[in-house]
Amino acid sequence: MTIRSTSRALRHALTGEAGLTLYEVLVAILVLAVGLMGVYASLGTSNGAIAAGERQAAMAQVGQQTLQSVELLPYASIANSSEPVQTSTTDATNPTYYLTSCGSSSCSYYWSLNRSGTAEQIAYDSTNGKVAPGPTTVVVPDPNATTCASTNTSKCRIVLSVYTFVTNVTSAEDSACSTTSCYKRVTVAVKNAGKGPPYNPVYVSSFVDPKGGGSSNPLTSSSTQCLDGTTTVVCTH
Amino acid sequence: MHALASRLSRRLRGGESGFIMIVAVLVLAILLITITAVTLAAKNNTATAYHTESANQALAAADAGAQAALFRLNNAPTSSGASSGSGTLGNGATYSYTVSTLSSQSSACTGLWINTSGINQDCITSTGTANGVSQTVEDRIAGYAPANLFPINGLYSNFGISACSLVIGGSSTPTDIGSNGSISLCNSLTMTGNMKYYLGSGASAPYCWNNTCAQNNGCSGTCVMAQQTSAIAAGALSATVWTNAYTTGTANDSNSLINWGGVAQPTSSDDWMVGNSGNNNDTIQLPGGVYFFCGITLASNDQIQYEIEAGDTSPVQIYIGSTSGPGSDCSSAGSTAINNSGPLTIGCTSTSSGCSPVEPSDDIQIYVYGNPTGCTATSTSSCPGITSTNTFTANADIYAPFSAITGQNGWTLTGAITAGYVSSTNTMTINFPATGGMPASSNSTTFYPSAHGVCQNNYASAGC
Repeated sequence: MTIRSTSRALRHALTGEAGLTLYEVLVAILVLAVGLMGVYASLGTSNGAIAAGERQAAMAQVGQQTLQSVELLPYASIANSSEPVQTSTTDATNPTYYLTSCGSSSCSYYWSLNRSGTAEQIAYDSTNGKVAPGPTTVVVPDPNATTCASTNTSKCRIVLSVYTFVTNVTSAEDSACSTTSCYKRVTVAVKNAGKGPPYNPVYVSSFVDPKGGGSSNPLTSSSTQCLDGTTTVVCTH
Repeated sequence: MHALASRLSRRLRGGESGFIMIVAVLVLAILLITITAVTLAAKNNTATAYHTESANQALAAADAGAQAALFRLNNAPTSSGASSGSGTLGNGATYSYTVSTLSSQSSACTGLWINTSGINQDCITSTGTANGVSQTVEDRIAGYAPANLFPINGLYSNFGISACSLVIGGSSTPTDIGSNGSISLCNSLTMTGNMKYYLGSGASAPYCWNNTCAQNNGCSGTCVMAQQTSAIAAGALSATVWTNAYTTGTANDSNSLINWGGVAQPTSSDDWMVGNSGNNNDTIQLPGGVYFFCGITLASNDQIQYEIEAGDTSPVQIYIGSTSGPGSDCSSAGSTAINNSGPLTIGCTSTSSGCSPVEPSDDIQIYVYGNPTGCTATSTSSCPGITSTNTFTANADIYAPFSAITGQNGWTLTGAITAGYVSSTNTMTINFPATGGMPASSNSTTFYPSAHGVCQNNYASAGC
């Protein structure tokens, strides 16, 4: 009964004169259209937020990786291999905005990201320095793109510009550093060079001490022994 | 089911308006739920990204605190910052650290207990915070007493010693010689003391001379071939010594052969220099103090002496840089640290030489920067050092680990030597004095990192 009667009723409803009115259909279409537009807008916003979050995470990851790669260098090599170039004096979202006096062999960096604060001199060593000041381009390809490269970023999912500034710390707390450099500050700034947010760079910063590693550390010698419980093992630095 | 079908059937049969609206609203409700879920996911994704960024910044700040603590321990061990401190980084992240002493293997800290006697073990615990996210790291560090600048009671050479006859030690003072390279003699050996050498991997022989020690009739007293289990190590001067040396002044005296850069002009001319180094048979007398030069060129039979005056308790310390030195402005001078065209005398060796009394050797100390990267073998050309074209006599301590000290004729030294390479074409006589002869190192304990760990929430360590 049920199937047959329902089918009959539906046929009647669709073909009978007592069916849907044009008014009902138009209103329903209008409601659906408005709703779908809202859905579309929300999807766009959500998609943008997801993409921005993805870029933000990538910026944080690239910043940390870059900092760690610098920290692994021998201390003498932790210096900018060339003098940084200031490309903006007005845009605070440009990491080079905080540089000053570059091009005159006294390039300095406002490490506190405050141009009225204290600037530290860039550790620049064209002979031993291994740290490029940047910007260097880091890209994340789109899964379907085959032409993404740092030299051709049009098909890339994420495009980042990485700046790395090495400065000689001149801290009031460390009187021995007041006139000469003692330890170094490494500041990595990662800026989204693609479309959309985030617009502010991610800054990751740390210090490197001259005794932080290297061949002069006696603990790197295989003759230095450590105790693992009661077992004597070679200390691994 | 039957009732629902009946209601739907009635509704359809009745042709009531509003049915399509119900469907539309239902569709919109489903879409709204879906988009809400997507929006929440996007929000969480963004929050996670920012948290990751803050965590990375906090971890870097924690590392920065550990590095600052290590620096302060090594450079300002008596300051308050050597035990605890805090600071701010440019991106808003902050750090704070504490340093605790590890007394035994059971003391909690990352890494393993270092089984070496005579070292201090400390633990740096540093916490970084960025945007409310904190990360903590621990560094185990070990403090080593500095290696002595003069590791041998007598003559030590990094790369080798070459002479003809070697007379080491007087009748009462044992004197040692040692090298990480070959010790090559063409004739006799006379010594009271020890000969120490390190046989590096692949070396065929650590020493050679025509007559072996046991067969050499000249070998008397203690003649011990004491092979070292590890390379002999000489301490290093702080780099700041050399950096500061050439930035404090550029004054030159009238004699262009000597760059007196950095030396304040004494008020009395006889305190400054007696005689003229451009002439033969001159004597340069220096009062106690610190002097920086790029190089000293002397004429034949010139002498460098200390002039200790009443109330003057400071030794003469002469630092000679080179073009290889950090911050050096030795652009042209300094190919040879000290060079003379005839017999050279440093210090005063006897009252007959014009000094009374004869001062101990460590009253005149000469430190030569040399060429740390180029002076790596038994070479004189790549190791700017001290060269005499005739005899070389000294009553002084000479620290020149990357320099060659050469005498075209015989050597007579009273004091201690650390050199890169040593050669004499004749007899070399070394006496380690009963007094002096070993300036104390000015360096304090040096801390090095042993292990580094990031504290996890479930890491049961005292510091974490």
